[in-house]
Amino acid sequence: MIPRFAHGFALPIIAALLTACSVTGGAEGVEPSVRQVTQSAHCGLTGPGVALASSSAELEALLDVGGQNMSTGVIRQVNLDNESLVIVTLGQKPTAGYGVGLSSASKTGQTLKLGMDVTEPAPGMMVAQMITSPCVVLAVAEQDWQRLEISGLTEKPIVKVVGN
Amino acid sequence: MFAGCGGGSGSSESPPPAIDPGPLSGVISIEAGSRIDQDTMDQLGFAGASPSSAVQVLPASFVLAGYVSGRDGAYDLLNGQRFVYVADAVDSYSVPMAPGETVTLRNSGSRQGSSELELILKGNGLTELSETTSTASPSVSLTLPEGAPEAVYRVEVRIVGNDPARYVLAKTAGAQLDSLSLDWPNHGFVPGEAIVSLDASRSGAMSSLAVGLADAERHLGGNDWLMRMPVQALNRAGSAPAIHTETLAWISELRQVPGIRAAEPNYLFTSMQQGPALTPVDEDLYRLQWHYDLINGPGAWQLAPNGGGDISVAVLDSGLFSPDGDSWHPDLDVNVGAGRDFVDGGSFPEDPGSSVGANVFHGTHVAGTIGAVVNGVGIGGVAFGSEIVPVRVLGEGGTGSSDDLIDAIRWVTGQDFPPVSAPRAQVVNLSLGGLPRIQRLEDAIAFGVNRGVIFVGAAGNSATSVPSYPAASPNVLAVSAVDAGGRLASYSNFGNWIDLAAPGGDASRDGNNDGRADVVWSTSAVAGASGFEASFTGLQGTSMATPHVSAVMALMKEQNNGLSYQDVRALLLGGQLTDYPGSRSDQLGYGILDAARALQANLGQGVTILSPSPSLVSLSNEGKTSEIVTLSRIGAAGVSGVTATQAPDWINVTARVAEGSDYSLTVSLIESMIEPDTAYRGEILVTYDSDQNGRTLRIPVIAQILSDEQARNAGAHFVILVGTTPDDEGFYWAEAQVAAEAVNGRYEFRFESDDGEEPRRLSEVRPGDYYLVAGTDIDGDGIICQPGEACAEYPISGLREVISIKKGESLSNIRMTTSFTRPTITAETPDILPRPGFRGYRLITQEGDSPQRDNRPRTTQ
Repeated sequence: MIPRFAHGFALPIIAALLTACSVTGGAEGVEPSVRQVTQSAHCGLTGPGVALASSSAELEALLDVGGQNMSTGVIRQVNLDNESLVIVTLGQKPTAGYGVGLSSASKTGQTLKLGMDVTEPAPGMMVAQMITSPCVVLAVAEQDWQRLEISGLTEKPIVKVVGN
Repeated sequence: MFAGCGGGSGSSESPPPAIDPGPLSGVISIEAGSRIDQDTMDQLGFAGASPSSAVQVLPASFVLAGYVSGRDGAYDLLNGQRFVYVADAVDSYSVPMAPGETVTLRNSGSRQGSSELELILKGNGLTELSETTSTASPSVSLTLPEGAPEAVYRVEVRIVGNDPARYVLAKTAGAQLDSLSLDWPNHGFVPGEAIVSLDASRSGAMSSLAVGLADAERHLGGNDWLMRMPVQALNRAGSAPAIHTETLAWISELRQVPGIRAAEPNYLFTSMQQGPALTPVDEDLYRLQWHYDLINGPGAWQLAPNGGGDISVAVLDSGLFSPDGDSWHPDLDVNVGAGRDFVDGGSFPEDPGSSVGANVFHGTHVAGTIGAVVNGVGIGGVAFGSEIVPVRVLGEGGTGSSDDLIDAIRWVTGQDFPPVSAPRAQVVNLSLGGLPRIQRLEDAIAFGVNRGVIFVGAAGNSATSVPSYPAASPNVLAVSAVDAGGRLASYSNFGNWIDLAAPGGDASRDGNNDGRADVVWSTSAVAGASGFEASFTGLQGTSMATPHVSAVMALMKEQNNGLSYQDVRALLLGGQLTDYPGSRSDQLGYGILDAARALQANLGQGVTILSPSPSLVSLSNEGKTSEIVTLSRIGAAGVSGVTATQAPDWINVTARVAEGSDYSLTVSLIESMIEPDTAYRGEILVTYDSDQNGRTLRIPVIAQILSDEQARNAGAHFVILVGTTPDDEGFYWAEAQVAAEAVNGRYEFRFESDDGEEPRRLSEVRPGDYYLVAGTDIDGDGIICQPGEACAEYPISGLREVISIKKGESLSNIRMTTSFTRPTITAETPDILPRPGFRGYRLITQEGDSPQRDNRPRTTQ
């Protein structure tokens, strides 16, 4: 049985705790296969958090957001039968110069842990005075995980539990 | 079998007195073009009904929902009953078709399975054409070949397997195809691309577009998308003429997709205008540019018809987008002069974008607001005749160093060694900030000010009063940002150092109630199939407000090249650059930039113009069919001879003196003069005399009539009140239910109050909190609002709200709209949330079916 993501996300993105699904059992110690698809300074998502998309309908909802200017082509090329998309967003930022990227990925039990590398302009740096909404789009090969833990974004890790 | 379903309307059982509006009543209108198969499953499910063998006559444009099944059968209903369905293998339609027109079929399957469907086109000696749906491609279409007569053809939808299937069949009259090939022979458009406008709040069509009909290339904002033809279709076309024909056929196919309001070729030039494009109001995207109206742009361009010609504006920013390493963004290129790159060095300040996708193309956007070319494409800049001097001081990601900025200002102002004779630009735009006060920077700016250069800076987006340099410098105009309603943007800095405000947008607001988020539209670039491509996008920030001011400085400099920063400050403090409210505020400084006032003041006394509001007229039989345009007099002198000298023949224009010294135009649509369902665009030319000068004002007009309100029919609707929480399976259950048929293109419904007598009729409703929804049950499975079925939610689909029924009170004139499409999250509808686990609304299919339909009292909010 292949666990699927819950169809649960909300905009603006919040660190939503969804209903846990039944445990399906899974291999321990498997290296998660996570790749960075693209980044964007204009994801159009206004809150910091994480969104999941495992169907084209869920993806379209995330790609049709006001103020967005992403490389949607490469995102749509991801085969959602093989990989699911995880969008980690910093939320709305006052200027250019903010960014988020993937720094690490590991899996413990059924928890997929993704470490984020967040960049921001140094104090006193000259920056473009444009509202941005930076995010990174990650593709996760389907594996047996039920819980997503995002660290590096906020003080405490953002936890998302996915269900069937 | 299914007893309560069709007869669910209790209103027919016991008609109440006509004057009693009941506890809840209203009207459901129907989305344009909607039709219904005359023997859908919900109708076949009635006792004694049999499939229609007659041919259903359809209009030239329609969106029809239907149902076919290969054999009699049965499937389990959710309440455990068996639902018996009837064989209805073929639905036949008479459809008027012209060569090149396309009929499209989309298969939605059913609970039972997903048989494929065959679409057949025949008659009038035509060799029978057919296409069959597949899992990979549930939509197919057939086009009447060239050479075939324009006539009524037979269109059939035939089931290939045995299982029942819902479908949507659609076609639009191809008048635009004929007129395109006859009347616009020299009119270019980009092959394989279309500008698609989705119905407001109903861009559910995006998901159906994704299934092979079109690829969403770019969101242009609002409901507008740039769509690209699937690659295989382009390849199939081969030669250039065929690609154009294929593109037009594909666009007509797009127009059939439920939820698409309009699909138009991506025109290289727009031919429906009267004469060439002269000012930014003539540009395609002007209708998105609320920010130009807010600064009184159309008034200003009468006074500065050359748009700041001969004036150079330096854009110290992230550089400009170059599509080929040689030229600039096509809507900027003609206006771009020699620049400099202080990040990487060199004289070609290209914004390379970002290899990982985090592009900003900030400088491209800022430069467009100042000096995008008026050429019938995209947008025009406020100073559309000025020269852009691109100077790159921000690197990848939009950050940079103060050293580069100081070097750049020295270069622009001519502080070379030895100093050059004149500055390289007369106006400097600084859409950047975050620096502390730096004396060397102040010195560099002061040098420029002393040479007549005017500096304009972004106040910053930190929503604080902490001064942000360079804007906070006394030698720089500090610009805060407002939304379309003229309120300070939520992010904008403020404080005693703000000089004036300009539109910077606020995506969280719709200040002018135009249904679109308030963002500033300008030139940009986006990642395409082969690298970055020129585009247009909406952004927000004080960065976007600043170039409006810089551009107006350029227009003023064109009038008076000797205009100094001190002169500008004198006008500012005198309230002559803005809509000065009489006193300065820390939020907006001396007020919001008013370009027409600024130019009028700059010319001295004696210049008087008329400024139109609104500056673009949009008419439709489903919106306003007439609009009053106020022509406000700006200036002290008299205005005479106000005449609408030219206007399209499809509008009536009446000019008259309005209150005070203003004039007004009443613009009315003559519906008989325009082809239904075709977008028209034209211009009203108003001439008048003031200051012994003959002046001309141009007001764009767009119009469309939708032709089919009376004939719209989305099928028999069930109108139900459901509980506000779903059951464990995700279903919302009906607690009261009435049925409605379309009459004159709409449904009327009325519930009744519970009279306390048993049995309670389906139409009786008790006080309580409910959702009000309606829809078709085309496959008769007792659930409405599934894919392929019509659905309406109160007040707006996707944004249902609790409706409280209270004892003794009556809610009448409730209005909703039903549609075969579903809403998604767009800039216009940011409140719509995904609905994980939503499966539809369950009808009451027999008495006692609803678990919540008991006699317990309900609470009222």
